[in-house]
Amino acid sequence: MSADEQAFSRWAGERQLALLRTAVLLTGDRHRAEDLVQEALTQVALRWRRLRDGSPEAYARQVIVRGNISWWRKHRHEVVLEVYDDASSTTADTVGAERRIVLDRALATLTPRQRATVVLRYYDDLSERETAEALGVTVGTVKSQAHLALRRLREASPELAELIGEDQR
Amino acid sequence: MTDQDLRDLLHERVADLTTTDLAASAWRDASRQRTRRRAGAIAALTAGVLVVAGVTAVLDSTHEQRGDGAPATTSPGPDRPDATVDGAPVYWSPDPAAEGELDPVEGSPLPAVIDLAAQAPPLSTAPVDRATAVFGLYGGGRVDRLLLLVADGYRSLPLTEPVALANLELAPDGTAIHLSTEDGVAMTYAFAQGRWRGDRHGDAVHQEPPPQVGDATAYGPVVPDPGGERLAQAYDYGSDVPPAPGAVDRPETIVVTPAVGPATILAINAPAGDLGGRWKRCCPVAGWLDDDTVVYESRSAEPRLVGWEVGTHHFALVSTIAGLGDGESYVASFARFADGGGTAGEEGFADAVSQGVPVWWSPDLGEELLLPWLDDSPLPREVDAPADAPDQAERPLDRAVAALGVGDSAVRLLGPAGEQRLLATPGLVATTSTLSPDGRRLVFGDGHLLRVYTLATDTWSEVDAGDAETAYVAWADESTLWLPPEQYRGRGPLLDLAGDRVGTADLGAPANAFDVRPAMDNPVGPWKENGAGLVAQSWGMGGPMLPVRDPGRDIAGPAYLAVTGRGETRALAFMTESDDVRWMDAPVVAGWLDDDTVLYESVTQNRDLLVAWDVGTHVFHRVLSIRPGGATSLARLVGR
Repeated sequence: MSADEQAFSRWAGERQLALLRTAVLLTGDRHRAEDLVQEALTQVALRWRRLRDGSPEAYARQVIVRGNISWWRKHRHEVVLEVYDDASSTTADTVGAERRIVLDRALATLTPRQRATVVLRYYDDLSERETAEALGVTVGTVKSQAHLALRRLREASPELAELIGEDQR
Repeated sequence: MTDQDLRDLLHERVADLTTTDLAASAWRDASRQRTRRRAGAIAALTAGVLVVAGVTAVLDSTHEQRGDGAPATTSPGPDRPDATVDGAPVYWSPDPAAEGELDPVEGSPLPAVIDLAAQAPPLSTAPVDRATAVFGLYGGGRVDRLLLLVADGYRSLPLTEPVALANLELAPDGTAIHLSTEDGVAMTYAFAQGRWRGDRHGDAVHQEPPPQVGDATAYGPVVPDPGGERLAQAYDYGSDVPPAPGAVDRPETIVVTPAVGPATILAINAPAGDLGGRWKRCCPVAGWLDDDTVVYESRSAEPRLVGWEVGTHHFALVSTIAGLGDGESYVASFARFADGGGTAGEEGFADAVSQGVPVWWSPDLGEELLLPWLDDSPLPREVDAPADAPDQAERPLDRAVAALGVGDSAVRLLGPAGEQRLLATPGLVATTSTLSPDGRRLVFGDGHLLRVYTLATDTWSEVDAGDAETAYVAWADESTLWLPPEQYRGRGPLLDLAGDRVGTADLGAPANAFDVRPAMDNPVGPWKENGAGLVAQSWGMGGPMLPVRDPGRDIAGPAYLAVTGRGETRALAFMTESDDVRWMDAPVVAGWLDDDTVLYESVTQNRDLLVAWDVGTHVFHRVLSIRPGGATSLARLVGR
């Protein structure tokens, strides 16, 4: 195993779970998330010598985010969002699996870019500028997308609205 | 609850995820991709490697303290530099004699032999839309003809008289040639138009002084790699770079610079004395074969194109250039070889520059009708707007990709699968913002009311806008309406579809890229974002007085479309002959077809034409012709 491969393997071993978590939140689909992470790691490996001293994780995240948006563009006509008629039946004290369903359901109402904005800002804790770079948009777009996304989350899921509350308005 | 609650929810959602190790398979996949891309493309230097390896040990003893600390007794591996300078790795090229022994590249987009004496029909009798390379051939100290390497062979492009050439460049997309002379004439030949145009009305595009490193001056083009991550540039003699033993001091170099980190340097090996026959400024960068392999010219009495896998000792012969007579010489320029998969470096030359912004000239109304049609368009090519079509009320479409106004009586809906419907809208006038971004609703201003139509259910609803202006209503997103006080500008309320005010905003035009008087700062139509960081906005006539193609024919100070984002602006000036019937408002931006292609609506009294511009190139296509014209609104194809 070459020194480059060793260094790449060490880095990928440390960061792949975090990347997978981001990808799952972006896609809502474990299998597609794994595909995106695999592709991102491959792209990093292809450019390892150039990325190793910089920020391979930022590059990988960019590949995942943009790959997901590209996938959506190609398949958007096939995507049917789940519609839940009885959203109000989920009670405020629901925990665990049901809480997860509420979040999944709410995230599914966002456009891919809005969803990516929420995930990068609130899960990965990226700054607005870092989020803009990952998405390839302006900081202004990140701000407006975050605003629209949070509003849509509130509207789409009253249960989530209770959780994220007034401070988001 | 706060932002932290959302964070906690997201973390909780994925906390128990586990993963298998993907690193090993990623490395394997990357290796396979490299192998495929490079299959046979770059063979290891045979004689050249041996020469370099043989002298490296000697040089290492000289330069080891400047190197990366590797033991001087270790034989150099394939990636170990021959020397370093200021932390930058330096590799030595083969000398001219060794170049002749290089293995050829396989699968090159260039022929193995480029024959400068080949039979070449004039471009006027055998037109093409682009070239792979252009060669300026010298006769008597001046360039007297241009030879084009094209997909099916060669073409010649005669010059009316020999010129003292200052610069010759083929546009990266191969669709135009830019030529400037030492006496200040700058001309552009666009293959699409088949004629030369002078740049006398604008600043020349490439006039910045070349950068210098020490005594070395940059020459030739700066070429980004296909991924847009590194730039390659040639420098003439004078660099403080250790030469190969026996080679000339302060050699010419090719410097490959990444966005971050040190450059990688190729020292051009030329034997001291006669330089092995190399010409001065021998080795301009020609392009990139792929992400890793830069191609440079090796100009001498036996000229060649050589490929170098950056950061290695791997070189290969790309092309031999034949047909050069005794004492003859040439200059060359190349289109991009590799598919960049992005926009970086893929653009053509601008026609002019105004206030530092590159400006392209649109086709005029007559030329629009000769444009090729776009293949694989999401829209039909021709539509007769008021012609019979199934009634939307009887056979409703769920979603439309375009809504075409038919006076104040109807809207024609174009479905995603080519379906068409007519929807009666008595007394309601469609605008360029009538259709929602998701294509599922229409909105019309009607006094203090907004009338919203939902396609899937064939239902109308009313939204009371109170005292807000409704004439310029536009969609902020799929479920939010923006009511600016004037056309597409100003701060206005945001309403949801239930009529609740959810905020106020100015979602109007982005700042004008040009410095213009306030009275001339007149955006026309909505702006559109492509989701990849670019925003397109049309602006009316008379603003920055952009240069035009033919001042004796085209209307001065034309309307224009500005594309801003990713740290730059590019403008498209709408050419309009003085007796044209182009609608006085600028062609408005209709939307984006993909990350690089913007659609604008060119309007006359009798027809609308949606035209696609591949931003930053001379590539235009017809997309949709509508007779008779009326406002067209598109759903979001990409972006906003």
